[in-house]
Amino acid sequence: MNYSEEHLRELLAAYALGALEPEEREQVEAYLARSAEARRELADLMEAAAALGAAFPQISPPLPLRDRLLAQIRAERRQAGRTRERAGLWPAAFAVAASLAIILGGLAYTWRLRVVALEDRLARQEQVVALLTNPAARAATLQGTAPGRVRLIYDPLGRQGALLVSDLQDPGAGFVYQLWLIADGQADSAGVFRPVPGRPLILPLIADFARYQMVAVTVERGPSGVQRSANPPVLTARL
Amino acid sequence: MEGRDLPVGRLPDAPERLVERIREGDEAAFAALYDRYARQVFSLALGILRELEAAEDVTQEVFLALWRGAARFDPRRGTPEAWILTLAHHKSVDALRRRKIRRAEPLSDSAVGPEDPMEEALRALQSAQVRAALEALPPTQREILALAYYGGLTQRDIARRLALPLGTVKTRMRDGLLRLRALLREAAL
Repeated sequence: MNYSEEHLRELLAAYALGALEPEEREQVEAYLARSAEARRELADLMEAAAALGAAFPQISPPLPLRDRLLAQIRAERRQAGRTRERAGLWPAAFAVAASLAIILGGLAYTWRLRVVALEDRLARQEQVVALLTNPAARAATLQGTAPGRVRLIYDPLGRQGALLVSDLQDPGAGFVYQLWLIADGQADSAGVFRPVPGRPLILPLIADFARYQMVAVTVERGPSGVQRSANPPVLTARL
Repeated sequence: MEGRDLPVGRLPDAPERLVERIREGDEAAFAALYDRYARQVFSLALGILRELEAAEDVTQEVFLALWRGAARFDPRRGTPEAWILTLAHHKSVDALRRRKIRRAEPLSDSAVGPEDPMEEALRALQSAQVRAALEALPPTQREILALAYYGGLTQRDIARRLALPLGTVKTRMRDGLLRLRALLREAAL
C-alpha cells in the first residue's frame, strides 16, 4: 500500500518517537529519501524527541565497556582486512596501517592492568555510597598545577575506591587525563577520563590499594592515553 | 612509517568529521565519538530500561552499529548527535519490548505487581525544563508522548491500551510533539 504525501507527513512525529509499525516506517523512510522538506521537518521533530531522551540523569557507562568495544571493532577490522587481502584488492599502504593496528591490538592485549575498572556492574552510586559510609575508607586530595577538586576515596583493606572529580579544567582538545597508581616507583594506569563541565565525575575503581603509595594524574594524548607516561603529573597525593 | 601518524592524537573535533573518519575505519575517531556520546547513550538507555546491565548492553549495541553503519549516516537528516540518540532510543525500546515478552512469563514475586517502565522513566526525569514542558501539555497528549517514547509503544499499541481510535492517537501524538517542540523553544529563549 502506498500512503499519500499528507498521510506520510502526519506520520513524521510518530517516526521521530519510534512509534510506527515496521511497514509504516519503511514508507516514511522512502518518503524521507525523496523529500527535502520532510527531512527538514523531521530534523525539527527529532530535536524535540531527543530532548525527551536527554532529560534523564546523566551517568557514565562502566569503564570496561570502552575497552571491550575498542577490542571488538579492532577484531572486526582485522577480519575485514583479511577478507580484502584474500580478494587481492589491498594496496600496500593499507597493509602498513593494518599491521600497525595488529601491533597496537597486541599491545592492548598484553597490557596487563593490575588496576581494573569496575567489572561487576554494581551501580556506581552504590559503590560510592558504600565507600563513604565505610568507617575504614580514607580520602586523599590530589594537589598540583591543575586547578580543580579531585579526591580519591578508597578502602585500604578492601579493593574498592572511587575518584571524585569536580571543577577540573578541560585538558584541551585531543587530550585526556590519565590516572596512575604508583607502587615502588612503578606507575600502573587506572584509565583515562575527561571532566564533564558543570557536573561531578565519579570513577569507580577496583585495585589493591594497600600496595600503592601514591596516586597521580597526568595529561596525555587522547583518546586512550599511554602505557608509560613521560609527562610530569599535574596532580598527586600520597596514599 | 615516515610521515605517518599513529591512530591516536590529532583528533578533529567536529562530530561530522569523526563520523567520516569512522567510515574509513579510523579507530581513534571511533574512540573519540565514544568518549563524546557514551554518557548520553548510556543515560538514555538506563532511563528507559532502569537496569544497569541492560543499559550497558544497549550502549555496546549502539556503538557497534555506529561503527558498522557509519556509511549510512545522512547529514541531510540531522546532526550526528540526533542520529546517535535516535539509534540509542530505538535500541533501548527494542530491548524494552523484548523484556516485556520475557516478563509476561509467570514469575511474579513482587507484591506491588509488575512495574510500569514508563512511570519509572517519568519519575526519573531530571531536566526541569523538559519536565515543565511536559507538564504544560494537555494530559491527553502528554500521556501519548510518554507511552511512545518512554514506554516503547507504537501508535497501534497505544490505541489499544487507551481504547482510543487510531486516528485520535495519531493526531494527539503529532500535536503533542509539535507543542512540546514549541514549549522547549520558548523555554530556551
